Amino acid sequence: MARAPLIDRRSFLKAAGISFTTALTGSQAYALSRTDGLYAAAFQKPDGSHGFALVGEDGTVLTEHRLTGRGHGFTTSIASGWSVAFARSPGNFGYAFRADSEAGPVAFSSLENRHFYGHGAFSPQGQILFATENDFENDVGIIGLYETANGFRRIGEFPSGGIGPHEMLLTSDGTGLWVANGGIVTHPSTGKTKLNLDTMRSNICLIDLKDGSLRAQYATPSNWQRLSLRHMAIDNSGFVWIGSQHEGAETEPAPLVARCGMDDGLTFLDLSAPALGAMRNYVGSVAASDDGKRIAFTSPTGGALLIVDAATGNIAGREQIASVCGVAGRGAGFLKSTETGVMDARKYDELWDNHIFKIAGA
Amino acid sequence: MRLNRAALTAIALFISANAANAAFDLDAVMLGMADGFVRPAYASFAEKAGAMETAMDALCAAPSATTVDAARAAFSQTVTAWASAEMLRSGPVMENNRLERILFYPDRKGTGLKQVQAALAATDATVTDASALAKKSVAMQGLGALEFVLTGADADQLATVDGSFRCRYGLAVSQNIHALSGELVGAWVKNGDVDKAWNSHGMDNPFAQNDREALNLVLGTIIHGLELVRDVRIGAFFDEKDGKDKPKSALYWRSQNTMRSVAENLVALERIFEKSGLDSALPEDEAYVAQSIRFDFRVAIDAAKTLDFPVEKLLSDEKARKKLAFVHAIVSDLIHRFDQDFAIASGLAAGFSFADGD
Repeated sequence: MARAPLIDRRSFLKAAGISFTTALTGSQAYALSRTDGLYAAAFQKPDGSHGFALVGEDGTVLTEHRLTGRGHGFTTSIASGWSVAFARSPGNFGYAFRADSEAGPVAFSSLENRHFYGHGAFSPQGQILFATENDFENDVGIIGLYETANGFRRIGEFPSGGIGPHEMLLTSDGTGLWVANGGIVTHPSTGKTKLNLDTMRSNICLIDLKDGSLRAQYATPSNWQRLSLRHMAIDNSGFVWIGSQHEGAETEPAPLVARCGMDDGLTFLDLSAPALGAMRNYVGSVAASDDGKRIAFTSPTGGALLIVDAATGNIAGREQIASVCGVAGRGAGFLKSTETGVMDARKYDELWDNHIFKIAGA
Repeated sequence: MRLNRAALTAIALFISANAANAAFDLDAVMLGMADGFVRPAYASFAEKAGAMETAMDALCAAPSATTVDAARAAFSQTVTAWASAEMLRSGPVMENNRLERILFYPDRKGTGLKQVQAALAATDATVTDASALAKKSVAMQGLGALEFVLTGADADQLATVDGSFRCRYGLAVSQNIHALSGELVGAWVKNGDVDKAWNSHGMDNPFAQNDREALNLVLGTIIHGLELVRDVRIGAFFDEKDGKDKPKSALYWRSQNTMRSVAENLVALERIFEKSGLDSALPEDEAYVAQSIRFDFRVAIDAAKTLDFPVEKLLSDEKARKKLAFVHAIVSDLIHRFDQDFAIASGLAAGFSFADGD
């Protein structure tokens, strides 16, 4: 199974109740009635304000919610009914929401000496939210633990196994966490400045959910010391697929796409020069199709979408879409968004952030 | 391969479809960047680095107050030249840790400083050989290390034979920096591999394959440069809000080149804007955005140039603090103008398109 199952549309509508559906306009309600999947994506409005939208599978924006700063990634738990929007790095807010009750959203934050990296994952039963965080005074990657039933109170932490943990996913068997440690030191006092490019080293860690111990750690090869592993998706065999960003020269086409198994380590795909060149050394988002058979990688810098067959590692499709970055599974295919406002085939004033996450649907 | 008329028409349509503005010329922008900024900036840096090596050589051969002063002056000129060249974060400077080997900053935990001090205390002979030094920690082989040698604790030794080891270490650093500057000049030589790739079209160009990417490249260079000035170069030592200044965290505080470097950073970014012809991406009815940018650059540069004195003095002078806050605010305004006004007007995503690692 590719990932924890999501609530289906019918259950979502039933659970959503009056509070959610009565807030919709006629066209939004109609769009919701026709959609099989619900997605969340963060945005910036032209006036500079930030928020996130719930989006139907045809790209229709159903509802919008304000955020106090720029949002980034999401995670959701069918078991608890909660979804969470995370602040983009170096933000420190989380915004938990659920559509199945009239209970208001819960805003929470990281510790004063931590900030979020914009991604997280729930435990299998949804009691604990795990968030990737930066212990920026010690240059250490942290997984923060937040208790769902207690207003997302922070209850602990453990090391991420590297520096700069970015995306994190629950393993397909629910016993561990995949963490992409991007390897780059940053500090809030110096903004987004990358402070250790000369010595950086990225890795993928497998962390045991029982006690936070490190079950496996797979580092980038030494000849690609500046390769930063950042985004991931899990296929139907339980393998995690990784998209990378290269911090070296543009003239060095880095191997951007890798696969990792619990016992297999990292295997980089030998992509053709045109496919790799189109990605411009930068993968911004990775997603699996709903059946987990195909993995999509996007590059906003190259305006490129690359689809890989998970079983063979062969290229299953390529597309040029200016500024594409957000991507999420939609049946056997993908819902895509751009940084310039396109969500599927619809154009909005909202500028979509890097990710789309499916929060309900088959 | 010969292209028929239909194919040429299709290509022309594709290119114009990608253009942010009919006047935008991909070739002119790339050529303007390379000829108008990159090559002159690296050439100047190499020239100053060469002069610095010569000055260090003279200092080691005949230590005196005069040769110390000459070496310090040559260092300041090299710093100024690098403050321009360092604004480019693309191409060969990103290979082999060249950027960090020339200047490792910020060094938040003082790791590099400790390494330099340890090498001086131990009179580690390997740091006096430029080729051996080039393989050591990046913090030990660049401008930060040389600044400490020339102006750090006990630097007065340099005027006498007591400073012989210190001088030879400084000479090796200057040789290393000069060698790196030569590599950059060589890599960017006209019609060389990098230049050909820089000016090629489509997928053959690893820097920018179409108008949109060229726009992103230049705009991203300017915005990241402005963010560096605001967050790292000024923000590192100046706390306008709470007054918790950190003067010894400022780049080049020992050699009193802090604000000279900042001013030159801004001059370089203005030069990139002008020489690339970036304003051609703006629609005619939004040309005012470029005028606002020019005005902001001029005001910020003029103000920064008046603050060219030691950081401690700058921070203790209320009038100077206000002016520094003004420079900081204008740089923030410039970032907004590029990141929002310019990006949107030229058809790019506001604040989203610069591959900032998320």
